[in-house]
Amino acid sequence: MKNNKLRPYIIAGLIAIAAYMVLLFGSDGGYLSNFIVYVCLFIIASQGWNLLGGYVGEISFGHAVFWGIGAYTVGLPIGYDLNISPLLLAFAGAAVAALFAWIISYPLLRVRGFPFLVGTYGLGVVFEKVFVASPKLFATKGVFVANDLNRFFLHGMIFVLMIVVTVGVKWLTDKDLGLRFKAVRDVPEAAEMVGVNIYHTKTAALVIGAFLCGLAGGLYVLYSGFINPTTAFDSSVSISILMGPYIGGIGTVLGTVFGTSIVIAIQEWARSALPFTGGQHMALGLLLIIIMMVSREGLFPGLRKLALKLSGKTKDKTKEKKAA
Amino acid sequence: MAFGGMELFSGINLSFEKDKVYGIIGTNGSGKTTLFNIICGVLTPTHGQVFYEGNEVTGMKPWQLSRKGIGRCFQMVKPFNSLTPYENARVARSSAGHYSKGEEKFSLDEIMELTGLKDKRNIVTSELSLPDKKNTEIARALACNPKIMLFDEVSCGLSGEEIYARMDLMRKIADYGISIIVIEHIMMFIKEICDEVVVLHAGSIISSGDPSVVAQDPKVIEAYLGGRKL
Amino acid sequence: MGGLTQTLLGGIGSGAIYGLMGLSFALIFGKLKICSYLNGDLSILAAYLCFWSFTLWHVEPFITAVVLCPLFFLIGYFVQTVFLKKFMAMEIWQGRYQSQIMVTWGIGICIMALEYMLWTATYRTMGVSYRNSVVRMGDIAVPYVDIWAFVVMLVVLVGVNLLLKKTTLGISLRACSNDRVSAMLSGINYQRVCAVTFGISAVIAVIAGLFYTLTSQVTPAVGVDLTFKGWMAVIIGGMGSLGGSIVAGIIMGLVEALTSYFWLPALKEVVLFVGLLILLIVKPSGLFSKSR
Repeated sequence: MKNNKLRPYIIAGLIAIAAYMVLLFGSDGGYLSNFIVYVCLFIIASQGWNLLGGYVGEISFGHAVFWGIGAYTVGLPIGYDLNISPLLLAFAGAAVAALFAWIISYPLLRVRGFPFLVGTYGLGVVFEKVFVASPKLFATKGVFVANDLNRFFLHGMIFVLMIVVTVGVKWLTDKDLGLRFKAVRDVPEAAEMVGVNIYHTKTAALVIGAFLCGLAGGLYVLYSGFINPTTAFDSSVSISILMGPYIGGIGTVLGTVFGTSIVIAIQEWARSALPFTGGQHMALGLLLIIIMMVSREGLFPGLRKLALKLSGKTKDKTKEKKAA
Repeated sequence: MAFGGMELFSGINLSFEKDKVYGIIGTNGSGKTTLFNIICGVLTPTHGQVFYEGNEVTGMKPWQLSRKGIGRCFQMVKPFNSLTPYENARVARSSAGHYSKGEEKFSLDEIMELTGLKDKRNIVTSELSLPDKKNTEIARALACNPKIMLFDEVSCGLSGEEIYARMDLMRKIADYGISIIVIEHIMMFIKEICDEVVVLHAGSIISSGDPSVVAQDPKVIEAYLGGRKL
Repeated sequence: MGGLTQTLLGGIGSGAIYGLMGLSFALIFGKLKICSYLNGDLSILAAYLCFWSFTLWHVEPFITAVVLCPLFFLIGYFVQTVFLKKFMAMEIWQGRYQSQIMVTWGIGICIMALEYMLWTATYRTMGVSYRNSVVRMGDIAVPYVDIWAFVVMLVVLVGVNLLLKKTTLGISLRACSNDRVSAMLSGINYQRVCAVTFGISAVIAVIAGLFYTLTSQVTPAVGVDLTFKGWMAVIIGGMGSLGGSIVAGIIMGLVEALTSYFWLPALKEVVLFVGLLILLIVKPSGLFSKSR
């Protein structure tokens, strides 16, 4: 029973690692290698978003804020020439993002639904404008984050972290806390009736998610070597983060992995294939509409349902044969 | 020991004692579910107080009250649809039940056994039948380690046989020393399992006492059948 | 002192646009629990069409808007019947709102992408003759357009209220808002009511877009901004109260104007959103919500 459940994950993991090895040593840190790193970073962030958006059911349009906080926690000290280990800063950034999420949950999470959505979007706008308007925070110039980390080491670490986060989120959602997330999403009033504090549960999801987003943001800066308000706080970052779970399958861990890979791939493809402005938006918008209309739960659960249906049919057939 | 006592709607006092099965009946709109909502903390009474185990609990939130040992089943089933029955119970055990650790009357497996969900414990609840969904709710409420359980018309929408099964289940729960308050429309149900019954009508108590006595009360008959016309 | 009064009047003018956006959301969300995220993009699309017809053929934008109204009504009707219909029967726990938001948002992104392709990201200004003409009262100059925006907003508010109170459509709409199933059982075509209401909401978005293009510069990205400002007005106004969202919109306009006057124009959104956060702490249900 348990082995059966785990087997697809193990197989998927092995395939991914094999593919990764081929690409890493085949392409020597070129375009493809960069692409994989970005995919991994966005998967980490998307898993964080998915905790709140998928499992608790509160859509956030502003997880870029946590991403950006993580990024600037790395960027600012390096920009001011402080001598702190960059990797330490990346994790500190995640912690700062989590702390900020904990503070901001007080006004935002007390009300269900739209205030949260609009408030998180607003938060992104606020951060972007504040950073643009403050010369001490390097304004629109941004920060060049030079570091002497080995790129292969960084690449490997991000990849391993992606796997750790994915497995960790899967583990967490099977624990009591994860079950509580789903209970709050399904029937909040009944969840209250069995002793679940809705506000605390949502806060937990937000804080853990913010930690992951902050971590991804910090590592992004270390890898790309540059940060400015647009790459940190813009709503397009939030969109990249939240599209993955929606496309792949909201509230599923593997769906998020696939979905985010597809979204980043499409963005990259659109950048070269549809070079006019708006091409990327058009591709993503159409993809979103199609997914929502065809399989509302997302690609991954949709495919699983289809597979179940097909296998169900074949089973029926074998039964008929036996009966005959 | 006074188990609970409250002023309801219009200057009435109502108290429930431990280790008894209470029935609440009344016409539609007489305030039965409102009473439950007040006990559970979903509604805060505009005036008056609610006491539980001798302490005032007026204005407490539902999650605080459930941690103190009040379990509830809804009239319209509200299981956590994306979870299995076992996981439904696990949520309750890890939340409300966590606050009364060591006092568990039954383990989760026993609850599954008791509510007859043993074979279906790994099926997602949204795919279960209505009786099983109701069982899931009872299992979930039991997993809270309740000292008192509120059942809001659990027989609603069930067939005769299923209702008998539900009555057996309630007796078993009562045997474990859990007090029960049931809202029911079916008089037979009340007569079978309740020690005492309260009749509500338009927000006030018109009769209370032993079920068979109450059933003969002319005021109750009038409220139910509209005495003057008879 | 005159400068301040001038600022406040300007704030009311831009507030009227937010109020209209809020009204267009409050109508469909407050009454029918349809959650749309594309009305802002519809507004900007309408704004661009007004701009286009004016620059190419010198058509008066008000006339274009009158032509656009039925067109956008049809667009709204189409969006509801084709994209949103299948989510209407869903329960909230099944992700009804999430699905609605994502579909409408996807459509909104596509509209935005279309605008980028047709008109690029350049800020466009419509050069109508009366853009800068003002009514002078002492040392205060009030732009005609602002006055018009305010008057039209009031007309729309009264019109929508009359529609809800007097017409058969309005009565069926209120019936659906109270109890969907009973309304359907008494012979109301629920899906059609929803579609027509969405159409009306799209028409209100056109009006907001028309005044936006007359008072500000237009670029595709503004659509999302208008959407969120409209939703802010709905939240501040108390989740679905029509008058409330209008008043909230005007308050938002005033806050923005005052921030620009006393502080920095670049920070007006910051003050606005911080204000929203404070409001959520103090009164989570919004300013004008009926207490339940």
